[in-house]
Amino acid sequence: MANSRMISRVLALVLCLSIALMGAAFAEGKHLNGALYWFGGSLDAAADWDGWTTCRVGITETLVTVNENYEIVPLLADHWEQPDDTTWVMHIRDGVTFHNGKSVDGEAVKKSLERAMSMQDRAVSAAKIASIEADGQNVTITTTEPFGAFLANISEPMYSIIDVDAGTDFASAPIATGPFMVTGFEVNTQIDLARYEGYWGGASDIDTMTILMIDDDSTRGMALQGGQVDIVQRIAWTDIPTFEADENMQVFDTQGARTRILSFNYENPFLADVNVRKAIAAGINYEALVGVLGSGVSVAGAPYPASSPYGYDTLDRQTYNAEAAANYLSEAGFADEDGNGYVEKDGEELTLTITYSNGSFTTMLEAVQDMLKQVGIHIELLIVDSTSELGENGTFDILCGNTQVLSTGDPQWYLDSFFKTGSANNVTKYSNADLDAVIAQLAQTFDIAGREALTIEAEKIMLEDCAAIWMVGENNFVVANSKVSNITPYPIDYYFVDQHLTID
Amino acid sequence: MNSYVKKALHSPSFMVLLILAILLVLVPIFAPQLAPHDPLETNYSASMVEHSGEYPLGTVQIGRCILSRLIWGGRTSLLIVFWVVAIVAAVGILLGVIAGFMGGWVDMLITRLNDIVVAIPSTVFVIALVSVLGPSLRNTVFAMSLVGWTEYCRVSRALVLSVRENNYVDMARMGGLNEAQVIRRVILPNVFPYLLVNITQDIGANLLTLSGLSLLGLSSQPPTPEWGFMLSEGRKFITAAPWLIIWPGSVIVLHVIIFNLLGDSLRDILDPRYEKPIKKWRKLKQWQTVE
Amino acid sequence: MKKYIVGRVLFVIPIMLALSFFTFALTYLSPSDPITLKYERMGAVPDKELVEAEKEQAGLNDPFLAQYWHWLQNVLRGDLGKSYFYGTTVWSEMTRRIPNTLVLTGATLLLTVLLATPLGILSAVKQGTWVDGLIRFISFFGVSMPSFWVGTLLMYAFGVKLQLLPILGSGDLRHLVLPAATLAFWMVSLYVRRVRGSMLEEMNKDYLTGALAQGMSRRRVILKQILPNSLLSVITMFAMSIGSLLGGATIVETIFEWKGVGKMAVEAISVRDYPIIQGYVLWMAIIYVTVNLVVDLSYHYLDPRIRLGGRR
Repeated sequence: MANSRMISRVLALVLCLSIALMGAAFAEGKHLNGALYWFGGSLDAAADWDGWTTCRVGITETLVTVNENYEIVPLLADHWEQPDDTTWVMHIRDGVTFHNGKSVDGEAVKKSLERAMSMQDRAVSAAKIASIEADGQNVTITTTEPFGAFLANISEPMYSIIDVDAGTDFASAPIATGPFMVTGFEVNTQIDLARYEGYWGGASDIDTMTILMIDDDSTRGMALQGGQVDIVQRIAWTDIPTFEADENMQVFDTQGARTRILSFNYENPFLADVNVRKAIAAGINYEALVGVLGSGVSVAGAPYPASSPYGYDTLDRQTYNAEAAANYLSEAGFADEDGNGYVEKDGEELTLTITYSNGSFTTMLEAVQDMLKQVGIHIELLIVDSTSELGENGTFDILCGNTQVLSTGDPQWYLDSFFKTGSANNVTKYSNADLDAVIAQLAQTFDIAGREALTIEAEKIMLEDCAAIWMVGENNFVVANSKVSNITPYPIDYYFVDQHLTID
Repeated sequence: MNSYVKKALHSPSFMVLLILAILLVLVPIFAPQLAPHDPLETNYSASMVEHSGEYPLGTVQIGRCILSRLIWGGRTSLLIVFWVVAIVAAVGILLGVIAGFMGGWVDMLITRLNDIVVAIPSTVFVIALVSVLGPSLRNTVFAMSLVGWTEYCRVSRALVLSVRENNYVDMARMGGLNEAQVIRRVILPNVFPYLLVNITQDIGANLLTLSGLSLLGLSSQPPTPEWGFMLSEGRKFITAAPWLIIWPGSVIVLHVIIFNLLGDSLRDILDPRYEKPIKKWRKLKQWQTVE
Repeated sequence: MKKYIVGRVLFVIPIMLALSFFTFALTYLSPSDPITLKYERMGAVPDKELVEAEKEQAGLNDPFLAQYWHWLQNVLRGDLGKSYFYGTTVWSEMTRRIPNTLVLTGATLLLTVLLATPLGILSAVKQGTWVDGLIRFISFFGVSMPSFWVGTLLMYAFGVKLQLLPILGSGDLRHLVLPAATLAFWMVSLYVRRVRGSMLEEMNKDYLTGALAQGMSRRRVILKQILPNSLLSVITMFAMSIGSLLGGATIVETIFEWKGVGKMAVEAISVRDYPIIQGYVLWMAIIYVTVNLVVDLSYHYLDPRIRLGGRR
């Protein structure tokens, strides 16, 4: 008897609790909930990579931007000219105001850019700025050397223009020019935003916005399905068919510029042989990889993606050809003498380790391992915390990583960093005098057609040499429920929310 | 000991559970004979099949047979767990017996060590250790063993203390046995049956810990099949292919339940304290109503 | 009494010193460094010079003992340092995370006490009946399922399919339901088993015969004699559970994106964010000492015959 009374009391309590839990809060006006997979430590665009977040959620803007077709287009600067190889005169659009109503002039831009350069070395090296002069709505920027990638690189979000004199905390309440202004920020958790009425491009239709940080891909997808958020950037690729089949969901994909690449250690005697590299490249079935990974990736096979203007269709790309792979191997002197399925040369088995740090590569690399086994190459997989250290020490055979090959929409950074002889990030120790010459020429070429031609020339050299294997390009996904409209899918993933976005 | 064996043989539930447990262990041992496919064999045309004649439990993303991977996965998962349990039981019992038998500063030192290890949050500690040492089977076993021995140490120490109070230790000493012989011939046989319960149930507990580690990517290196790894991979596909998480989860639960039940029924046999009360209670009740 | 409490509280200092030194040594052994890992996490490729400069600035190139000494000096001045990864101070990160963990722990413990005690008693009293069988069956499942499996399935069922509850984040009470339920399912099951076990053990003791012989009613014997005594033996274990929950239910916090200390610790470990790891270790030392103190005091309160500090 005592027991049944106790139970009924407990039941009553549980019931009360659950009723209390049912109360849900509803926001007024047009409110959009979004989710991103990463926030920085602050909302200070000039700090670290935090500008990527402020740019994604529409808080900050740069002088120029990169559109859907990888073209550099005006943003805060509406036109510019280049009196000589190292001087850029940029005119700041009239009528642009900061979130506090102050209008943006040359002086404000100068202060903001100078602050960015004082904040981190990356801001000094990326645009190679020597000095900035302000004159009314004009800024005159001088570079330290003729630098063809200047215009593209100044679009990097760390060069976002913010009000340096606003007096608010840069880290949590920056005053910038974007369509949305910050009303609340919790590190790694949530950003609250409200529409900026005075936005120069026309105020947004959305009143308020909450952006959550959800770092797990499948959880982010579930939050969207469960209705907790309306729009997300990036979901688990395996979920894409489910979302595409769901009539309440819209999926936008663009071929991004983040490519999954196998980089060789050129100090490895096997890999120093171009035929071995080519055998690996021909042994991977890129179409099958895409089939396995689902709609999240596209076949690459060349350094720059098909959506970019760098001659993808005209290049002799890396393609699957098991027969060719076998020929390359025998040309390099390899044969399966002991009949164990793997080829040897001088009694040494062709065994190579692919090292990677990103757990989401596992499935793809297991498939690669299996494909290369078919042509007789023994691949081992090793997942580590960080590949950078191994890279520096040269203690690796093959590294697998995903690299933004068109950072800021320009090809030069990728070539400079990874393939130029002796460059700091060139951990593979790749060296090719012809390529070095093309890269040097690229730095001094400013006209778009000329840069494109040089880039294609560089690609040809790299493909001929099989300098790396560009396996698949990661697509950018924006997935939203049917309440959201006017979504612009950008190929560069630090563009996401803009003033056009609306919600019912 | 013999009376225990006799009792066990007469307990049908224990015998059934024991047979089930043995069967579960035999499955991975005979994996090459039982598995319908090579666990690493891929079939790109059969990616994420739900179930078919060829793949009874479906396939993963690159077309590997889930059933075969579960069967082979037992080799990794159970091996890790058996190693961990063997190590922690051996180390824990040894330390506990030494502490209980020697007493004094040795006892204090071991008890303090025990206290410190208990104070460390074990999941976080294991994660820290494995990620520093690098994920591999050996490191996982090592890290899990470092935190797992305390319960054995505590229990065996207490048991030794109570055995010591019985006269037969003194009698054995008088009979000319030295310390080591007393431990081996008198104390361990008395202590071991009680710890057997712990050992059996620890198998289940460690399987659960291991699956948690796998969630954070700290168990086996791919492509080696392992249950926890399969579970955490499956989590990514929960909306698209829920069976990828349901099957490995069910296999883990099945093992944990069988070994826990086996432990429970073993305790009923070895530790009469858990069997009696209700009979006694009923007796009391009758007696009360009579009054 | 006061002296005893002060002594126990001061005990946090040697524990802290030992644990922090050990943690430092462990993280120092790790081959990767926090600055490189931070950039890798962002998907960025930083210049080597930039990384070197940042490492130098953060003092990561100093010898091991110098780093530890430097950190210790700052802590003594009340400065826990700054996270390499989040860019915030350790203090602000901890004070933001701890309330979340407290809420989750509190909800779980509430459910555990409210459900496990009556169910455990019921199961023990009705030993051998279908009620006992059912309770044992369900609690058996509860302790046999991996918590992240349960959590993910609950998330899928209630968040995605039925759309009844938000599946992640920490906000109002509705956010609390799924993570608390996941944890409580396991905790309740565990304690139903423990309460039942210790009740049965207690019911087997001889003094009950005497109590019943004196004419006490059965209900009275259960409530006044058996229950307090059997709960006494469960308390230590319960305190340990509280301690480990306060240390963060790592797995559950991770899958539900619950921004508590457990998730923080795991994230910090994976990017070698030493200052945060040390802050977490400090928090653990405080919990350990507090929990032990509370256990001792509650023993003393529940059974005055037990001397303070005499437990063991």
